[in-house]
Amino acid sequence: MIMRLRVMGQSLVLGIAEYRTIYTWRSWLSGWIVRMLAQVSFFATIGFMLRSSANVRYLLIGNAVVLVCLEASIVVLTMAGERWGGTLIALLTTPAQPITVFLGRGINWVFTGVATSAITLALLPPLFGVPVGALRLLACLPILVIIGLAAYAYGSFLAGLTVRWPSFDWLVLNVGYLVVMAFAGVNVPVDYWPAVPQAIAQVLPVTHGLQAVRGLLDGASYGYVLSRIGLEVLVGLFWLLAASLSYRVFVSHARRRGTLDM
Amino acid sequence: MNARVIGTALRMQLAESRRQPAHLLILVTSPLFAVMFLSIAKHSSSDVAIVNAIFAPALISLWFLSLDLGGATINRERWQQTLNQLIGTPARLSAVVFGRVLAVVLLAGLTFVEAYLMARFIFGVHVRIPHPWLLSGTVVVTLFAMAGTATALAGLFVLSRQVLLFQNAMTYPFYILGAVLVPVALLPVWLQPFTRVFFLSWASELVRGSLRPEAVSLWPWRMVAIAGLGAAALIAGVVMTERVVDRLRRTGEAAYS
Repeated sequence: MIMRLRVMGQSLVLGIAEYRTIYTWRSWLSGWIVRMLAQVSFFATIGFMLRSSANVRYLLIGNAVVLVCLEASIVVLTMAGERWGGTLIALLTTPAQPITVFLGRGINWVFTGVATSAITLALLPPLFGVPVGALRLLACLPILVIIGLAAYAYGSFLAGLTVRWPSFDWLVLNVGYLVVMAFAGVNVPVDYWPAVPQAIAQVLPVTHGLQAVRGLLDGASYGYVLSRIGLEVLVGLFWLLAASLSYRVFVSHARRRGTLDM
Repeated sequence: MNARVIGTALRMQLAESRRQPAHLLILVTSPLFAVMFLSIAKHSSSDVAIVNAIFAPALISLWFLSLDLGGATINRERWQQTLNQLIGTPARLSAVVFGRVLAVVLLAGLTFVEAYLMARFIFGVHVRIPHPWLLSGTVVVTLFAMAGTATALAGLFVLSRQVLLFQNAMTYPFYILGAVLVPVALLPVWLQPFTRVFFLSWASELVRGSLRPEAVSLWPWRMVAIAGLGAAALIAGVVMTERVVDRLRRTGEAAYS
């Protein structure tokens, strides 16, 4: 267990170092954060078009929270990048368990995703006239981390597809998070959908965590909030198991056939 | 620009797209945007929002494709180490870029058909198009403006090694400026003048206008605005690309740029 945590820690350090080669503080704030603020503003202004402050609130909070999922899902590109770069094999020759290495490789996206989501939730509600209590917002932070971890597990499962077919990396990433944005209660309540999409939404990351965030901000009972958090954790564990199995099958198959880089 | 070069580049892009259909991504993402926009509009039972939502995914796809093409067309040559050979030919690089962009523009036109089908058959929206010729004309002129803008972006991105950052940063801010879903009049007053220098804001208004029964005022001038902005972008793209090529030729830095 300690070994696994150490590997995860090293993955985090590596991920952050890699992130710093892409972004400086300036380009992160002026490029990434401004883009994310614009994304949430785009959806919140639909509420203006609908002339409904309730819609502005619903769309703003939903789209701010889903950013953590969007960013955590970028692990899809990280893993495809290892395949493209020919470094996948190097990851497997380390003494650590391959599955631990694979599952830890993009863990940094959870932390940057939580930061992006939290900044957006702190900055935009006042600009759009959406009242949100500062303490309640602060209490949402641990829920954002849980959503981020569940979304990361979901992203890792998707990454299991892109290590097999790396040329589909952008397709898998986009479809993966757009499905969450469309059906997980981000823009319309889950019960708006017919039975099948509703059932799918129950196993998507964000669905239950977002309900917990909305409940917390709207003053719902702690029992309700905790039950939603519990469901989000279960969804995360489900995807973690699916991702582990997917990676395990990929690694053993590729090792046997010597096709890890092909 | 030489029409033969444009035609050859167009054919080459079609051949490449058949083998690496990365641009087909928008045909998959566009329906998911339609699901989002139409569900919001139908859930609120707002007729105005439903009309606005019908073609918004197609307009988003147009801009996404402009950014994708603008960023990737020259950069892919650089990554494949073929930029030197390309610059070494007597053809103008800007004509090659424009021809390649044109090949993919037809694909962008398909997203309008897709958006219509999603609204009609998945969400059961009875899509009435009282001004079909205006819609068709707007789509054609907008596709030209998109090709011109993608050429300008290619000129802008050619020397950057951080193309992905720019591409990513220029998505949603420009969806707002392009008024693809929320009309310009509902945007903050200070933002509204900026929307007017962006071809997509004019196109969005005309597309929405063609779906409403009332006559669309000043539509020829609006069409001229889209075409004019597209042509201006194309000229800027040609000038920028040729200047960069001249500089790379003089300094011998093409392969290292």
